[in-house]
Amino acid sequence: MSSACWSCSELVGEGVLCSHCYKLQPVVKKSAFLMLNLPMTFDLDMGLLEQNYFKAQRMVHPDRFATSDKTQKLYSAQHSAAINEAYLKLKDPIKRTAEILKVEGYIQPNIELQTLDDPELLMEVIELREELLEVQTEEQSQKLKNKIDTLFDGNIHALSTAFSSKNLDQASKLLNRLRYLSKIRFEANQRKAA
Amino acid sequence: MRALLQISEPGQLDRKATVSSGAIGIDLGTTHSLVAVVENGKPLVLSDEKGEQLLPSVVCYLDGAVRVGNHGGSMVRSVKRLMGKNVGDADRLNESQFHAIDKTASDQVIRLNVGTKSVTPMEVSAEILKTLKIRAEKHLGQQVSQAVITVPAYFDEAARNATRDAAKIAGLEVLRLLNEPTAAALAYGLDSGEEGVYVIYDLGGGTFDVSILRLEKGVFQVLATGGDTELGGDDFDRLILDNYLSNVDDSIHERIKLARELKQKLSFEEAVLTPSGHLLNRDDFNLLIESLVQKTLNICQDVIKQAGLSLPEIKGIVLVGGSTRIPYIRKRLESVLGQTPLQTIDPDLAVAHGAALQAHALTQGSDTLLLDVTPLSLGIETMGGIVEKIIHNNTPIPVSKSQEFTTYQDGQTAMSFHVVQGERELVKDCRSLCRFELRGIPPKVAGAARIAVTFTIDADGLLTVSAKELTTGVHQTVHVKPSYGLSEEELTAMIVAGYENAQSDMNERLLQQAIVDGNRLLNAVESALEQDKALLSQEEYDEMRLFLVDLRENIALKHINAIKQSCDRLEVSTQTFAERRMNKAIKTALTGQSIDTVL
Repeated sequence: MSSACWSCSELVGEGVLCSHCYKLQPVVKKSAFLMLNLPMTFDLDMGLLEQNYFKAQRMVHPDRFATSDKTQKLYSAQHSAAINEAYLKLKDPIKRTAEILKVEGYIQPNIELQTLDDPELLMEVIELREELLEVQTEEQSQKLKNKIDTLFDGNIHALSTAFSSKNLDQASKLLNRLRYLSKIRFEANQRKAA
Repeated sequence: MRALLQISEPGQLDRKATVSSGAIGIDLGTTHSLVAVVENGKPLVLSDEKGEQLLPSVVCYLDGAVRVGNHGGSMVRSVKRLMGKNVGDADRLNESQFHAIDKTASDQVIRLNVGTKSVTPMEVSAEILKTLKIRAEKHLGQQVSQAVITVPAYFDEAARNATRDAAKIAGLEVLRLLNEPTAAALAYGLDSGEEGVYVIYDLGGGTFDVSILRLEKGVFQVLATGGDTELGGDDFDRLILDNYLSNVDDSIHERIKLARELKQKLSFEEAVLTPSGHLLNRDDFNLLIESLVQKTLNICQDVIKQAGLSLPEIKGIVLVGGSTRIPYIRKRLESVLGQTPLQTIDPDLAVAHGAALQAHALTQGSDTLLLDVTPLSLGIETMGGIVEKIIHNNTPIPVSKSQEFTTYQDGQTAMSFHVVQGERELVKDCRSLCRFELRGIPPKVAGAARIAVTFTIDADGLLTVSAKELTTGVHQTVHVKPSYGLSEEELTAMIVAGYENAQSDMNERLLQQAIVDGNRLLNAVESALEQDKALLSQEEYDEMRLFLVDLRENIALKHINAIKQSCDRLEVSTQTFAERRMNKAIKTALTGQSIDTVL
């Protein structure tokens, strides 16, 4: 898709800079994967994610446009913020899963914690919560945290399998479980701090 | 200066262009401030005429004149502690013990009594900035209008705004507000070329910061930051003051100075004698500061945890700030973090170095990438005085985030928002930044309107909030300015006043500029005479020499108008000379070339 450069009116392509006058163009909405030039996969190469994140920021960061005109300064901040957002999305397995499902058109964007309609998950969550309440010693706390970590990692693995077999229903279900596990993990960590 | 341009050798660059862009780096500290520039690719901290690099952050008001440094009169020190604070904060922090706070001022902006007038902390800070600006202008021989100014990483929105306002009053455009530990890391990383994860422990005169940074191939990525903007070396001085110097019969300024001297001595000696003959040894002092030091260590551990790191993953600890010279702090850090802090950088200069490097990078371009985070969470007050966080602390900046809210009453047409900053869950425990109201919402049943509130933090860490009703597009944007900050009108008035007071500064600057221009002309004419004396008659040559002597004398006398006159005379007298040189140059260029290649 091409549009006219805001500065020189020439047609600009996909790039963030106009190919004629090299001025920074406004942000075009893209998926987080496209934004950072990465293949859409759950099993993301984290090293590559960092590398591409830095590469993208290098081009558009406000430090590069500190002495530019107002328009480019504004676009630079917007690009940089969009890249930061994409980076955070892809770094976190929960947000990454949600992003893939969104691009696949599977669930509505901005969907928050879904209701617990999965009886199996409901039981699991209730049991974990009870265990959390019963924790008294440091040893018990560590043991429970290890257990949650193991469940969390197992869920990540299952998500990877679900995506590679293109089972989006399963992925969505696992995403839901991951959200609950993440919430309980956070609470378990908080408890220790208190 | 047409003649000069004609007389210079082709390819000989203007001195201005080769020296620097005139963008400076400023470390605006609680007890000391510094200014640095980059020359030949290296940061250089500038000294005053006595060779001092550290400018005491003390502003003295005496007989209508303002001087920065320890000059007596009505003195304001450690004004950084009041930046972005309101009258209530000053009371809470017991600052009136150390500052002549104007109790009659009715508004929320703190005012300090200095002699016969009262000034805001921003105006006091501006005096320090102006002094540093002039120091840089003298060194560079040119006007300076742009600066990178460092702020504690843990400075909140109000304090950042106050710093930017101070710069405006001083006539400086802030290229970037740079976090102090990030600046230090930049100086350290570019110097050592090291890679890995580093803890920057920055304990200055009035503030404490800790940042975790990853350094990697020209990238400086802040992973997490924490701190306390009300904890620093000043607090150690105050403890000595309260415990050992309360009986000393002297002014508060003298007693603070004394306390600081005792503290500094204790970094090198095992014990010191107080004026009342009391022996204060290191152990006593360590005991005094123990709980404050523990506070910094707790923050360190917490920030490392927030960055998702464990101790073995940390490659080094970099110490910044004068207070890190205290042996006890080094010892405690070593035992808690399990490694000896690095001592490769000067804790007083590192921040200024980083600021200068960043100023250079922003104006001249650079391959280095600095990725910082926002230190404090930002949110909106919701029902029951609970904070709905919109941007969490340690989020990379710049950042823009939206959240949708809805009406809670049928037919509601306006909605008010209260923006707060802080980590706590309740509004009353967070810092209130501003309130605003979105009007013109179409009346609907409760919960039907959709209002998107967008928080945007720029690369300086400054916030803009906008609210938009999504079904109608009613829109409002607020540049967050804390209610106890300066209004635009006040700020403008101060900037104007600054110009008036700066008349003498301006004269000084114009003189420096004239001297630089004069010297440049002198050099250009002399080198031209050396090469092409043959083009002149003896009479013309003598006249030119006479004007040269005249100009040199006037430069030595520092008489601005005389320098300018001498320059003008010399330029006029060299015009013919310049033309002849040009002709000669063209002839030389044409000699031996065929007509085809020339045309």
